[in-house]
Amino acid sequence: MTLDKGFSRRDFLKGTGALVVAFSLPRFLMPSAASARSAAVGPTLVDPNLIDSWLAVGGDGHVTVYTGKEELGQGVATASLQLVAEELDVPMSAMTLIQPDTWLTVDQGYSAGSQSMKTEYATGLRIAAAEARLALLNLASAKLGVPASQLAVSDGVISVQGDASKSMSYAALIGNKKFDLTITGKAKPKTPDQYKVVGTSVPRIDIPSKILAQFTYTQDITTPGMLHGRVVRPPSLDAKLLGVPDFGGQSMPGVVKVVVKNNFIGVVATEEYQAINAAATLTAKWQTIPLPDQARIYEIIRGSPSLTDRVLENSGDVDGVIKNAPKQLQATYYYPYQMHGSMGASCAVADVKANEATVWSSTQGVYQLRGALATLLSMPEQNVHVIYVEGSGCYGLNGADNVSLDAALMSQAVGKPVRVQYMRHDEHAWENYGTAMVLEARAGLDDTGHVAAWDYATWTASRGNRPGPPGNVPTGVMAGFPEMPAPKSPPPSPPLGPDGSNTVTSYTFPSQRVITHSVASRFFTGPLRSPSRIQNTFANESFMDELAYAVNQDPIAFRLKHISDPRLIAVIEGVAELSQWVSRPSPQANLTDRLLIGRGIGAMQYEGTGAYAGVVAQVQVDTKTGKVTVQHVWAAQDCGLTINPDGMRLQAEGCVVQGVSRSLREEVQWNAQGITTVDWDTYPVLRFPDLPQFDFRIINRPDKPVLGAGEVVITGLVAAIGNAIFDATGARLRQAPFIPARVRAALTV
Amino acid sequence: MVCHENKLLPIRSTVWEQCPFSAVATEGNMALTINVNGKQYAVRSDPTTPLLYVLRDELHLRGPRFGCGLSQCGACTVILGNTTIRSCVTPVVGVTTGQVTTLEGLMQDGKPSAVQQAFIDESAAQCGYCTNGLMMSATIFLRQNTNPSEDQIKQALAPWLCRCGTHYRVIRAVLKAAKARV
Repeated sequence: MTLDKGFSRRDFLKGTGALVVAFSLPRFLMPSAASARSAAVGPTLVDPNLIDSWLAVGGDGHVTVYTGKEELGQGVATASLQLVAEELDVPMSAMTLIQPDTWLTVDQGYSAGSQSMKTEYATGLRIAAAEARLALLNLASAKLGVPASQLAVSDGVISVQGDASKSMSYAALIGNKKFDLTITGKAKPKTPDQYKVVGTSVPRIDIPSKILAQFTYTQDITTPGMLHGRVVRPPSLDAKLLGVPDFGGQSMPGVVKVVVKNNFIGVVATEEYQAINAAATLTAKWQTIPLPDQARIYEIIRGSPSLTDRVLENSGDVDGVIKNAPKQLQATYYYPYQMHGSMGASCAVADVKANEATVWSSTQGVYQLRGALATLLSMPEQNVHVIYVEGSGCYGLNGADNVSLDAALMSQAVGKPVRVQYMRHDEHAWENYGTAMVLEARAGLDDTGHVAAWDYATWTASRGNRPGPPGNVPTGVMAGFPEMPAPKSPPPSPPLGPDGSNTVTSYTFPSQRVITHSVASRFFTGPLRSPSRIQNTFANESFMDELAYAVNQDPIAFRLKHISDPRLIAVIEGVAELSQWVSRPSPQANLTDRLLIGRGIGAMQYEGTGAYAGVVAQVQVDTKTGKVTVQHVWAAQDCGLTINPDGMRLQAEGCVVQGVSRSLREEVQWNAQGITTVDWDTYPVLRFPDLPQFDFRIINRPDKPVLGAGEVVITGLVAAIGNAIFDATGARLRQAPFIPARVRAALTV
Repeated sequence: MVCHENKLLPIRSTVWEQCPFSAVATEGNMALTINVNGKQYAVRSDPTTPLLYVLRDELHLRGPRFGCGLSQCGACTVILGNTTIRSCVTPVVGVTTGQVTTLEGLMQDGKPSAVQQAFIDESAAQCGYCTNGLMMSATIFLRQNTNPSEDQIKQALAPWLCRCGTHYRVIRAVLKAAKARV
C-alpha cells in the first residue's frame, strides 16, 4: 500500500470538512502490509458518534466501510456489508470493508462471544448506515428541491419518485467529502419487511481471493528489513530460566540475537529457516515445578481451594426438597482442557521503534491488544498501532494475541521489524486452553415425575484470559508481568442470577441452587468456542437425560415439561420433527448386538439470553471396541432475524465438525514435565471419513433481534452425543471425550 | 533421510505420503534451481531448507502455508509432477529435477481451475488457511479418479485437516469439479 500524496485516513478524519481530493478511498485504505505513515502516533479517538468513523463515499461512489469487528473466517465481513448495503441501497460490489485498526476504526470491543452481528445490527454499522442514508436524503432534498419523503434510492442514486430524470448519485452528493455529522439516533433503519439484501445468502466476499491465493493472511505480511523470530519455551509455564541459553558451541548461521527477558526467550535470525534451526538448537536450563498427575486432575480440581465462589441461584429449600423427594439422583461430570487447534500456527509481525510500534496481528480485539502491548513495551497506548489482519480460524483465544507479544518483544530487542510464527508445538502447548471443569448435579423428582429441586455446582480450573494486561497470556507472564489475581467472591446473598455461561439451565424448576467455584490451573485458559457453556450444557443436558430415564420418560417429553419459553420449545420440536424422533424412553430395546444405534438430544438457549438450538445426534457404538461413530446430526436453530442463511449454515456445519471432534477425541494431555499433546498425532481431530450427515433447520424470526450464530449448535452437541450413547447402550458417559476406553469402561459398569 | 522424521521434535509423525526421494546430497552450498509453476528459479537457501520456506520467503508465493511443519495437516501441500507432497518436510534439494506446482499455478490463462471454481461456487472455505491443501489434493485425486463417489472423496481427503468444519462444502466442490471436468 502506498498513501497517495500523503493523505491518510487519519488526515481525513481530522480534516475540517473541506473537500478532500486526489485520492481514492478504497485504494488507499486497504490494511495490508504497509508501513507508510506520516506520523508516529494515532488519533486520540475514532469517535463512534460520528458517521465518518463508520463509512465514507468515494468520488466514484464506492463506499468504504469501517468495522471494529474482526473477520475471523466466520463470515461477519460479508454479513456486516449486507447490513450497510441494505440501509444505503448500495450494491455489495460497490463496497469495501476495512478491518479493525487502532488508527482507523471504532473500538467495538472484542470480536468474540458470537456478538459481532448482534452488535453491528443493534448499535454498529446498521445504525451508522441508516444515519448516512438520512443525511444523503436530506442533502438530495435540498439540491433537488423535493421533500425527502418523495425521494427513492437505488444503487447509490437518489431520485424523485415518479420522475427518474431528477436524480443525484451519492458520489455527486458527498463523494470524497466528510459527512461531519453526529449520529443522532433519529434515522430510522429499514424494517425487516423492506429487506432485499439482509436475509439472503450473499456469497462470502473473502472466499474467491482465498481460493486463488490472493488473500493476505497475517502469515503473509512482510515489511522491508523484516527479520524472522521463533520462541523457545520452557518445559512448562512456571519454570524459571537458569543461566544463559546457548547453542552449545555450535555456530548458527543468520542468528541476529537471542532475546531473553525474565523467562522469555526468542531467537531472531535473518532467514525464517535459520530462526527455526536456531530455536531448535538453543539449549536453556530450567528449574521446573512438576505438573500435577493427569490421572488425578479432576480430583485435584474438585479438591482445590476455591479462589472465587459465586452463588447464581438459591431459591427455596433445595436440600430439604431433595431429601424429601420420592426420587433422588446425583451425578458428576468431567470435561477436559481442550485446544482451539488453529490450522495455521499463529503469527504476528511487529515493527517496534524507539517510541512507536506497529503490530500486524490476528487478535480478536485491536484496542485490547494495544493496551497489552503498550504495557509490554512501556509506551503510551497512542504510540502503538495495531492492525488486524486475518489469520487462521481461531475459535476463541488461540495464540494470536500471545504471538503478537512475542513479536513485539523481539522487535524491540533488535530494533527491526520481526515476523514470528509459532511452530506447531508452540501453538499446541502454549495456547490458552478451554477450561477443564468438574460439574456436580443433584436433583429430587416429585410424584408426577417433575424436577422438584435442582442442585448444581461447578469447579473450573482457570488462569489468565484475553489481553488486557500482558500477564493474561503466557508470554506476558514469562516476560515478568504479573498475573491478574482471582476476583473476590461476591456475597452469597442475594444470588447473582444466571452468569451467561449456561451454568443455570434453560429450564424452570420450583427450587434450585447453582454455585460456581473457580480454582487455580497450571495451564493458561481462555475462551474456546462456547467457553464454559459447552461444559455446563454437557452436564445439564446429560443430567436431564438421567432424570428422564429415572422416571422412564422420553427425553424430549421430559424436557418439554420443564420449559416455558416458546422459542426453546420451537427448536426442540423442530429438531424432533427434522430427525423423525420417535418418542420412547431411553435406552432402546435391543442391547445385545455388538453394534448398537441410539439417538440423543441436547438443547438450550445459548448463554441464557442468546440464540436457541435443539440438537439431535445418532450414534453407532461398537460395544466390543468402544468406538463411537456419530452417524447423523440434526439441528434446529433460532437466532432471531437471520442475516445470511448460508453463512449461518456454515457456522452450524463448523459446530458439528468441531463438536463431534471435541466430543469423541479431544483432550489436552501432559506428564510431569510438560504438555504431551503437541501435534495432530497426539491431539487428533476429526477427519473427512468421520463426517456425520447433517441436516439443519433455521427458524427465522424477522421480528426478533439478531442473535449470534457461531457457537450454538456445538453447545448442545456433546450432551446429545453422550445421550445417544446411553440410548444405544444403556451406558452413561460422564466424562468427555467419549474415547473407546471410557465407553468400554462404562459398558462394564 | 526420511521425510517424516522431524528433527525439532522427538515425535513420530503419521506418514501420509511417500517421500519423493530417498537420499539428498547436502555437501556445500551448491547453486540450486527449481521449477515452480513453469518457471525456473535460482535458490538462495541452504539445500536442506524445506521447500515451503523457499516458496514463501524467496518466491513470495502465498498458496502453500505453514500449518505444522510435520507433514500432518497438509496446509503446505504442493504438486510435484503428478503427485502431492508436503513442502514443509521436503528439502528443496529434493525437488530440483521435478516440476513444482503451487495453488497459484493451478490458474489457467488467469482463470481459476475447475477445482478452484468449484470451491468458489460452493463457498468451500471459512478461514481458508487449510484450503490450499484440499484443493491441491483434489486436483491430483481427480486426475486419477474422474468420477468419484462421496466416500472415495472422503477417503482421498483423509490426510488433510480442516478445523473450521468446511468439510461438507469441500466434498460438494470436489463432486462439482469432477462433473465440470467430464
